Amino acid sequence: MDYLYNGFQEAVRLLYTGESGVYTIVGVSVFVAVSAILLASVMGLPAGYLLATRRFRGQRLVTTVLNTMLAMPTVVIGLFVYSMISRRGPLGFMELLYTPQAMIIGETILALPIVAAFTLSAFRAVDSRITETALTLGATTAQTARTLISEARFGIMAAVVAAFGRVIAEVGAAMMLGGNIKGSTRTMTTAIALESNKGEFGLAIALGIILLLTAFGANILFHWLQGFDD
Amino acid sequence: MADPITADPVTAGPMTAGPIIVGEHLAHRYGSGFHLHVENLALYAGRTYAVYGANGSGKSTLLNILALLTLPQEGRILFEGRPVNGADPGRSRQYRRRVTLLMQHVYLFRSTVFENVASGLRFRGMAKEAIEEHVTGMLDKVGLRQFAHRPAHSLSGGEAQRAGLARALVTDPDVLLLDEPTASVDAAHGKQIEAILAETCRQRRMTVVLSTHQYDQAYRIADEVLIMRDGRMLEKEPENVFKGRIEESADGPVVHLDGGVTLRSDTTARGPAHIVISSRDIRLARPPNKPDAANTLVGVVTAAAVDGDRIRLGLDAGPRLDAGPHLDAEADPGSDAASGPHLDVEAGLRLTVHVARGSFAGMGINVGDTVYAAIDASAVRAS
Repeated sequence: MDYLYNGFQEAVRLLYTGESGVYTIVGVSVFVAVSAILLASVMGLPAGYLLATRRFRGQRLVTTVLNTMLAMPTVVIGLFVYSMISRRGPLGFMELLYTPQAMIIGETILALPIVAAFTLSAFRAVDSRITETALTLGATTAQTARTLISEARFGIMAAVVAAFGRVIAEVGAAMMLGGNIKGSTRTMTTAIALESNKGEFGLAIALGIILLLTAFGANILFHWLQGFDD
Repeated sequence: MADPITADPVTAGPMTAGPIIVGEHLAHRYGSGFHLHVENLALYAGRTYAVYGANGSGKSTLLNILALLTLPQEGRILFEGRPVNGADPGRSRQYRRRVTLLMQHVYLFRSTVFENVASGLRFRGMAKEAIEEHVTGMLDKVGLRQFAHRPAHSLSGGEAQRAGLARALVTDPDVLLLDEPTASVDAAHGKQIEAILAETCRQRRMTVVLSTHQYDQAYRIADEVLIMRDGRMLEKEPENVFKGRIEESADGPVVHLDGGVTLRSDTTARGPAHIVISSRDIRLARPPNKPDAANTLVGVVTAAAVDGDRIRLGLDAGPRLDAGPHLDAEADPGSDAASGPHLDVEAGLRLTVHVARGSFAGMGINVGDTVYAAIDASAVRAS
C-alpha cells in the first residue's frame, strides 16, 4: 500500500507547487465544462420552460426523447461527434477533432438534455397558483414568465448543477474528441485515466482531489446563489 | 373629465353612477358537469357584496371569472360599461390592475414578506422610494411590519393570509375580490382580516366582493348578499316558483306542488301550472304563536341575509323537516282540519322569504330556528 501513501504525498506536493501542469489541466477542464454548460443553458433553459408552459403537437414525444437522452452513454456522444468532425466526416473541413472546441460540442450535447429535462420538471413542480397570482397582481406576460422563473430558480439551478457535475466528471467523450493532448485538451478525467495507467498516482490523486472540490464548490456556489429562502 | 371617446377604455375614470362591473349572461361549464350560469350581475362602486353559498355552488368560479383568471365561455363582463373579456390581452391586464383577486389559499412568492407585498407595485413600474413607502404603510396596517424582511414562507397561515391581503390592497384596486378570505385561518385572524377589510375599503371606497360559506359573515360584512346554489345566482329571483297542478276540491281550489305539498289557493286557473308565491307574501311567526292563514307550513330557517331594506331568509318548509316533536304535534294536520295547513307527510319546499328589517329585528329569528310560515290563499297564484 506504500504506493498509495506515496502517491498522496506527491499529490499534496503537486497541488502546492503546481508542477506537472496540474493547474493547466484543471483550467482546460473548467473551460470546457463552463463553455458547454453556458451553451447548453442558453438552449436548454428556454426549451425546458416552453415544454413546461406551452401545449403543442408532439410535446409528449419530445419529452420522452429528452428523458431518454438523459441516459445517453458519453462514448456514444463521442462516437457521434467524432464521426461528424473527423477528416472524412461532413464537418471534417473545420478541423475540429482533438481541439477544446470539439470537446465543448460533445459536452454540450451531453449537458443539453440534462438542463432541459431538469428545467422542465422544475417548472412542472412549481405551484400552479404562481401564474394566477402574478396575473391578479397585474403582471404582463413577460412579468408573469419572470415570476415563474424566479419561483423555479432553485430547480433551474439544480438542473445546471447536475449538468455541470456530469460534464466535469465525464471521461468518454473528452477522451475521444479531445485526444488527451497535454496543455490543450488534457482534462482532469482524461489525465487521471492516463496517469493511473502509467502508475503515476501522485498526479492522478492530486487531480482527483481537485475534481471533488470543484464539484463540491459548484454545489455550494449554486446553493448560495439561489438565495435566502427556506 | 376625460373625453369618453378617446380615453383609454379601461383606465378612464368612472363616468356615471352606474355599476362598476356588470356580468351579462355569464356561463361556464366544466368537464365535471358543473355549470355556472349567471344571467345578470351588477356591482356598484363602494359597496361590499358577499357571495354566499355552499361548497361547490360556484362562488370560486364566479370570482375567477370576475378576475378574468377563467375566461367565461359565454357572456360579457363590462367594467365601467366597456367589455373586458375580449381578445385584447392589454385590456384584460388593465382590468386586472384595477380588479384584483385574493385566492382562498394565498400563494406567497419565495422572497421576503416585503418583496411579496411590493410585487404588484413593481409590475406597475412604481419608483423604488414610493414602493418602500406604500409597502411599509400597508405592512403596518396589517400588523406585519416586524416580519417585513422575513422569508414569506416562514409565515403562519393567518399571517400569510394577511400578507396576501396587503399585497392586494397596496395596489389600491377599485374592486377587491376575495375567495373565502377567512375560511382557512383561525377565528382571531378571521376577525383581524374582517377589520382590515372594513377599515381600508371604507376609506378608499373600494368595491368588495367576497365569497363565504358562513352565513353570519355574509350578513355581518356585506351591504348586499348574493346567494348561489348549483351555479346559479338566486338573489335576483326572490319569487318562489314551483311546478304544480291546480285542482277543484270541496273547499275550493287546491294546488298540488311537485314537492309534495298541497296548498289552498283562490286562483281561477285549473290544471298544470307554474305556481308563484311572492317572497314578500310569506309571513313568519315564532312558535308557539301559530299564525292564522289558509296555509301554515312549518320550516327551518337555513339562511338569512340583508337585502336592501329587507332581510332575506331561506326556509326549508314542511312538517317533517327537523320541526321537533312539539311542533310536529302543533302542526299535525288532524288537529286543525278546518283551516288546514294541508301538508303531506314527507313534503318539503324550499322557500325564500323577505321580511322588513324592522319586523325581523322584533321577531328574533336566527338561522336554525323553527318557524311557522303563513301563506294566504290569495298569495298562491298561477303564473
